[in-house]
Amino acid sequence: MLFSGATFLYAFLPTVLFLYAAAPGTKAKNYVLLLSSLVFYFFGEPVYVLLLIFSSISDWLHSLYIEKHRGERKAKIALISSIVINLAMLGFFKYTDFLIGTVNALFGASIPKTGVPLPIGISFFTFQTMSYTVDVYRGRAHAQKDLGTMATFVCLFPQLIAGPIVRYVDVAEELESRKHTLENAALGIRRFAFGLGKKVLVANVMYEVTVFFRDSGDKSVLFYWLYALAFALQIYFDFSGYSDMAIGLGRIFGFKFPENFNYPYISKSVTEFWRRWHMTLGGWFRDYVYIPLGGNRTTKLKWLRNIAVVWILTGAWHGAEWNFVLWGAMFGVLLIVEKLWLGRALEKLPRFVSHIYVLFIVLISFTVFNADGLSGVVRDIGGLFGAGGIPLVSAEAVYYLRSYTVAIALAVVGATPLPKFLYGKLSEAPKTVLEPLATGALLILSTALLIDGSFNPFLYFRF
Amino acid sequence: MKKVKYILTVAVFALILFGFAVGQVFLPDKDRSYTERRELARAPEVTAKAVFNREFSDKLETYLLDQFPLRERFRQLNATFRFYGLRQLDSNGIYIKEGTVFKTETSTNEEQIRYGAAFYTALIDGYLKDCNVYYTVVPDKGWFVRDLGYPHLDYDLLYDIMENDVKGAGFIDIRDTLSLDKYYRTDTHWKQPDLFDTVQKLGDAMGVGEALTPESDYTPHTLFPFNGVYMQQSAVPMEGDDLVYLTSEYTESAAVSGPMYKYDTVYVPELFEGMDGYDVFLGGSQPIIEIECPNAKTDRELYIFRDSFGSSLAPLFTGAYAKITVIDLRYVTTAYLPTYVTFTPGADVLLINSTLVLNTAMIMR
Repeated sequence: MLFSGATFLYAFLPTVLFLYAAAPGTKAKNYVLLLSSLVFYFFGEPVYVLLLIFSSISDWLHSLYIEKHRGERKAKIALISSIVINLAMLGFFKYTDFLIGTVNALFGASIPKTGVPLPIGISFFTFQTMSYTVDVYRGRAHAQKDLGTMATFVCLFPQLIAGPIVRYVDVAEELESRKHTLENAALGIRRFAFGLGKKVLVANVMYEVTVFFRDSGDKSVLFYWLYALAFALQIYFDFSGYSDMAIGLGRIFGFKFPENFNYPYISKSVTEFWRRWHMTLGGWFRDYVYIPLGGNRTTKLKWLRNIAVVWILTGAWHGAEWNFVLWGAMFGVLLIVEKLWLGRALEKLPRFVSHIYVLFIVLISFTVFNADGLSGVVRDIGGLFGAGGIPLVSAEAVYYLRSYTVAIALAVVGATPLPKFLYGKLSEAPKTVLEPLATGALLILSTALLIDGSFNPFLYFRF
Repeated sequence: MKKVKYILTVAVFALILFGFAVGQVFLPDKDRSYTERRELARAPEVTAKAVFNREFSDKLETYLLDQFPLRERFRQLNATFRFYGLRQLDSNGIYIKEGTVFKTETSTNEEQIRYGAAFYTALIDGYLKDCNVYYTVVPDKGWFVRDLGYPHLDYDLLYDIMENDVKGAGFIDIRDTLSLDKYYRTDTHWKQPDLFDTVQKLGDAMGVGEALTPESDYTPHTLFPFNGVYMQQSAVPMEGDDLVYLTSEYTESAAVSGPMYKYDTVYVPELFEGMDGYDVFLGGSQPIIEIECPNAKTDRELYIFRDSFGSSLAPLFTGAYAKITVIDLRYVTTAYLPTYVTFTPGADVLLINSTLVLNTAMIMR
């Protein structure tokens, strides 16, 4: 079930909101959330909902054991056991066929693939549960005694399948007791509606360009760059829109989820870009991989190793294909280059030059990200630079550029803080009317595009 | 002030969310969408198998979108947003230029066109050797605006293949008899009252030009509004066309029959209110129709292998041919032709399909 689907918007969500409002007290509300989250997941993954339940129970038991034996060797063993179980689940479902395919390709073997489908959201919920057990082990969080509350945290539908990656410590207090205010509800609704608009009105429209590009027999250099731009905008508005919807829903239910995006496309360096893009994932790798490995407080060689490990893992987290590993490694190299040499030079350059540098890297990187394997990377990156003798311009490229000029321009402006800045200049009086109107208009217009459109992809099935 | 804003925001959200949710539950389901010419999804059956293989959730989403309250209004809103908000050149492949609706055609399928040419040749070799065979290609509306930058078929390639690859038949190029205003604004088809130049050119080539009924002998009958297929797909609110069909003593006296044809006249006005108003002409999609014309000025026979463009063309030959057999090879395969049709040696044959059908020629079998 997608947030941007009729089933969610006009069947599931109204029902959940009604039941949630009717439930007395936090405990009962938690059970409404838990049950509805299981139904939410069951709709998309009827069998794997058992995996979700298993994951909740496993980490609940492990964390209780860790707390009971805090400071003992048993706690460490339990922590390792928990991590092994989570990584084994992730490894089996996400990477088994990838490894088999790689072995087959390298050694000419013909090991049959398992064909096991990837459970939606497994990369998100395994990371959340791992961070929980680690935090309990480190003493940053108390083990949750109540299985229902623990399962509510793991399964919470607003952030279950596409993040942000919420850590237990972020919501521990709210799971026990939270306030439901008119302000929270209204601001949550506003955030949700804007997220929905970003996903349906911008990302889905940009997705159309990428589909027309893929289907076209009239490729050109211009068309490749148009595709790269459209996909970069699509993935930003799709992912940040989903995060906005999650944060908004969380707020309606009384939770304060962490921010996940902060206008990444205005960055002046790749380092800054990654401080603004998918912030909860970056934070997770920093706290649970990079720093435990020694971070930058070690020898230069080990520091380089730490960065390499983090970025290869970041790439692989996004998908079990070599182009994702390459994508992550590419950022790892760029970050090292910036930290060692380029960073200072970038600071001295005019701002627009730094922006162009980052946007160029972003377009190239997302072309790698969205390619169909490594051969697709070679084809698509080659296409950007005219490899294969393709023409500079083609009729279809010009047509789609003309047709989507306004949409692209609006998306580009929307990816900057300018609209928010201008809105902030308004006094409170017009906002009293504008915000409810905009919320309603976004909902209605998004519904119109969903009803009459066939473009509503789910980008995170590989995550 | 902020409190008022919050109350209004929650109220608007709740009204939309719960309003449409309740509407979904209590409004009756519709059987079909006339604008999209398709059956609408019905509530999926809940079975364990359907639930566990995710068929139920997929079908539920389709059902909710298909049966959404005010669905047509939402479709119009989407089209309006695309055309006038985002200034897109097309919406769902439909574009509008000066009040006329067109469809983009992004891919010219050379393989299909070559199949079409080879198919014609095989048809002639197999069944029509003793007949006088002619063929023509009806340009789609995109041909008239091919210089405006919208994606269109590669007409040079298509006409080149059709002119050069079909053997055993004479090509009649009718493009110089047509112009954009001879097509409906809202539909893919041409207008029957504007086909006299085209019919004359075809009739002259087939040797019956003198026997054709002059325009002045026809009586026009107007049906309104004809909301053509492109207009319906675009969902943009606009006025429909006048659909005019022409009757004469020859069309009125014609006896019409066919294995699937439920009517006995060349025009079926009662079909105007159906899914496709153009079905008025020869009842729409029909595999084989025989038109006996007792008052025709000649005793010659004509076989028309056609798509829907031929439906409005055929009645205009009723004064010139004693018998006209209209065949649509999208709905009957050539292998079955001998079961229903015996080709008279010396008869005239006209193969007439549009560029759109030839670009997907493999639907002819």
